[in-house]
Amino acid sequence: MKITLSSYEMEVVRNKLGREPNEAEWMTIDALWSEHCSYKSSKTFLKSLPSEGENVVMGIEDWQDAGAIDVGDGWAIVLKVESHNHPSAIDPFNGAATGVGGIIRDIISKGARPIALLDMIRVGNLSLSRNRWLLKNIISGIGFYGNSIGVPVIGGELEFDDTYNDNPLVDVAAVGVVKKDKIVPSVIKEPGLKIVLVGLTGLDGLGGASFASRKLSGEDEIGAVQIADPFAGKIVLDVTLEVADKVEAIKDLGGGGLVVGITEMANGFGAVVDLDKVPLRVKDLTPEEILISETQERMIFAVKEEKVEEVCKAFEYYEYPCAVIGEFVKEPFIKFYYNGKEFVNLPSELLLSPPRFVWNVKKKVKSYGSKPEVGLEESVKAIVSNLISKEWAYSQFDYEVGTSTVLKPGEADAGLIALPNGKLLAIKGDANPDLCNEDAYECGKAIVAEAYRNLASVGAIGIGLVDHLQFGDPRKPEVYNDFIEAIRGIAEASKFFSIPIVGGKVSFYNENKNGIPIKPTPLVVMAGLVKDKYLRNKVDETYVTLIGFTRDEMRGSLFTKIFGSYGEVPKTRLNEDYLSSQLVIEAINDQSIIFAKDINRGGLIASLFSILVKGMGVEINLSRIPSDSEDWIAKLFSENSGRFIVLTSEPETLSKKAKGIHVSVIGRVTNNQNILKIDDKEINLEKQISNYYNYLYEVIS
Amino acid sequence: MKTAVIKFPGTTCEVDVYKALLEAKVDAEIVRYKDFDPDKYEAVVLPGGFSFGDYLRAGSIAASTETMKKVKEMASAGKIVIGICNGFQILVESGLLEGALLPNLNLRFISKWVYLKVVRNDTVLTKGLDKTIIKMPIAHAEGRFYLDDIEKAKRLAVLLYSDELGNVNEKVNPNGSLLNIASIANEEGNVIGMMPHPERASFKLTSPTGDTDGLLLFRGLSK
Amino acid sequence: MLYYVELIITNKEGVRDPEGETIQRYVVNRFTNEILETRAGKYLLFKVNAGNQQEAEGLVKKLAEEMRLYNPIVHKIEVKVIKSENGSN
Repeated sequence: MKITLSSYEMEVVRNKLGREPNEAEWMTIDALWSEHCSYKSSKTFLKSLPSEGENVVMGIEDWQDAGAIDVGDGWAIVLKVESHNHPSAIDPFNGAATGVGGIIRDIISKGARPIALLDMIRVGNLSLSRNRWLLKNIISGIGFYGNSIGVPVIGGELEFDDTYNDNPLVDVAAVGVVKKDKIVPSVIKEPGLKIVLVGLTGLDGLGGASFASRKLSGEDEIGAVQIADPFAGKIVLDVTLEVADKVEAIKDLGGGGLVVGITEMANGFGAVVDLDKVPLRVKDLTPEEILISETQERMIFAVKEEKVEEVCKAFEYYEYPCAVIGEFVKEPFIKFYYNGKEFVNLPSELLLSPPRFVWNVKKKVKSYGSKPEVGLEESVKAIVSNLISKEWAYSQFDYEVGTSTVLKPGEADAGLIALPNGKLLAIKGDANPDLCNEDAYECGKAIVAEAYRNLASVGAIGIGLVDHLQFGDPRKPEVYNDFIEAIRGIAEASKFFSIPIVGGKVSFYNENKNGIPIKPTPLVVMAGLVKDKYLRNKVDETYVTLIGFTRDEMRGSLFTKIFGSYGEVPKTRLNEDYLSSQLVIEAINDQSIIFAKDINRGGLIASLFSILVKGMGVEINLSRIPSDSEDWIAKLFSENSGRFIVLTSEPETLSKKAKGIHVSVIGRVTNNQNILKIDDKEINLEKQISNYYNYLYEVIS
Repeated sequence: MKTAVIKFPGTTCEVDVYKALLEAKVDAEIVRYKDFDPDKYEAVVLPGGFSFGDYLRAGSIAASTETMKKVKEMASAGKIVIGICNGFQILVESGLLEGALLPNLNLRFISKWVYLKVVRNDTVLTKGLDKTIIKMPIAHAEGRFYLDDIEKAKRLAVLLYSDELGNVNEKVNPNGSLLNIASIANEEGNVIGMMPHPERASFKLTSPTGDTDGLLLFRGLSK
Repeated sequence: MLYYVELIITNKEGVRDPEGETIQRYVVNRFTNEILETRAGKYLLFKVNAGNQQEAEGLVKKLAEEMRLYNPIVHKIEVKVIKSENGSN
């Protein structure tokens, strides 16, 4: 069993402890001080993310598993994002499935009922058979778990880039609902409570937490594989919610297993645990293995003595193992016993306070090119060939279970789900690795702004955000610089929109065996409420109206990815995103638009393509597009933010409402199927539209 | 009709079915599988989900529980037994309905809204139905109906996968079911199984066209 | 000569098998106490054209590895010739 602590960290331990820890104690410290559990390289900067707001019921300050936001009528939502990047590279089916399982258990740990899932997947180029194998199994794994536990997958992202060839990113987000006064903490407030463990412990995922904090080395990584059992997951989900009001704290066992779960739940108090009482699946586990096993579908509860029987009876109804394995005590030491002998005895404070690291920082030097020579038809076709329908993926998910899915996957730029109080919740995840690779600060702002616009396109305003920061090795100065800059951008945007960040995760060490880091891929998931009306997109022969101003800022765009990098990085002008989004929401509320799509990847052309795939034609005039340059490339393909395409029969009404932003009728929707007409040039996109619908079906089979 | 909605370990759709039955003004309640007393009810619904994880074969483990013995008693007594999706699989595995539900022909889970043609009006769900073409969603990986007696299958069929005009052909068959069969009942008509989810087509807000055809079927239980 | 070759794919020892466990707990245990463990797996039967038994087995093994019929991180395989045709039986 490899320890991942640096020699510096080991010295700190020896000095603080005043002695040499035994093997089990080293493993304990290794798990708790792993990057995955402790956030030691990121905590300093994560604390700068704005996490307060009048609607926040639980924020990052509590450093618990999931943040909660008030949605009115005594209800709150719990929002969480999680990834299983490293296991998915080895066993994509189980890696993705257990990712779903883990995040569902994080939601139920708050006593909240999970009502929706989002999946955001990034794999390498599908021309490589390994990437096809990864994608097929990742989608299969997510469907396997999500469908079995009855939580609908209502949306997500699917992107391809060579940077993820060895390191797929599998991000899963979940939303749960809970009554505000029934939220259950994951840490105890007083000692004397019994520790109740449900589920059997086996050999799964040994060393998983430290595994996630190491780079993939290509060795036999069987220890890190956790097998998913969604049937057990469903029992755990149902019964945990049943007993939620009978316990004082709930925590699911994830990275680092029992030892991490108990130490974190103790939150500074102590715990005395008897490993002989842990129900085992496999006969001869060593006590060290029991300590850090990552067998799935296990939870721990802090329970008052008189409630223990009731809690275990509820699990035993479904034949699910339940046992009291110890108790929380006042003395701040974490002690584990086995065969009557004490074999781990460590101070809680030591375990919860690893030295924080602020690594060195260095700015990336990026090379410029000059504007490529490319024709109109060629560039339009190249851009839209990269746009594909995700129907192959989402038709493998049960998105209707729960009868609350208002907008179905693929229907709009955000998922929309009904809450128990009748309000509608929109939710969307966004990332932009190409832009983050150019300028992580602008990118941090850009992805928050994009999520804000996505929500507006269905009629919702953001109320909370969670982030997932995915980077390479933080000890590399250029990687760490991107990390800090991305946080700066996300924090600024979040403050501007007054949307608190109620939770998040960090995943470092996403590098392949040659030590090449992935493109920086911070990801945000935003949830918002529809205040008045929502929009179900329709297309019809009417005016195409562009909201916002187009700028010649081509760096990091899909166009430059295909044809060569040049130009400036788009600056996210947050006020423009705010004003344009407000206008769209107003128009949705007075029902003067039938279709809204924000402009992001692929620029204006990509947004127009979404009309063409619905069987209509589009014609536009370049001169009608307000821009800071006459260059048609910028007008059609720039991805600068703050813009929407809407379809309306009353553009004047829209113009009258506009505050500080442009509203321009740039063309019309026609019934000239498949034809995109730009000035007097007609481009037939029949082949590309067919590719849009069939690409994944053809490539994967 | 007092209706029980049974929850096995792994059942996921019991709350949806319960909500839809209430919407259809049916006197219903959710009952956990070990607590089921058949004498208290005139009808029982087995909802969708993944009972016992769908391990071995979907519905196979649930079929051998004590609970299903009691459901069989209800069926013999002429009471109403309805199985939706996993419920249909359980009914077939326990012999209350004929045939088998095999893995979909394209070997993957399929989630989509479909049109159904009503071809039998002597069951409690379809009696007096004035619509012949209804719309509701399917979500399953093992929904391919098979029976080795085609004539019998034609007689027992209640709903067929069709297009919006009622045309029944291979193109609109999502899983390779024999004769596009989406639902069958026993000869008497008191035991009905269906792969599509009527409870998910019972609320205007979440129905893509605003239709609530699921309620039309459930209303049969409200007497 | 034609050889019938079985390929049985099961989880490695020490890797969980939830399907086998569930069948054991909810079906087998209700039936008898004498069956102690159940493991589930996948069974494939190939009809192979080969010169001899070793060749037939070797071909199936290669197929399983190169075409990823199993995931070597999680699964183990058994390859067995059960009969041959067009010659002896």
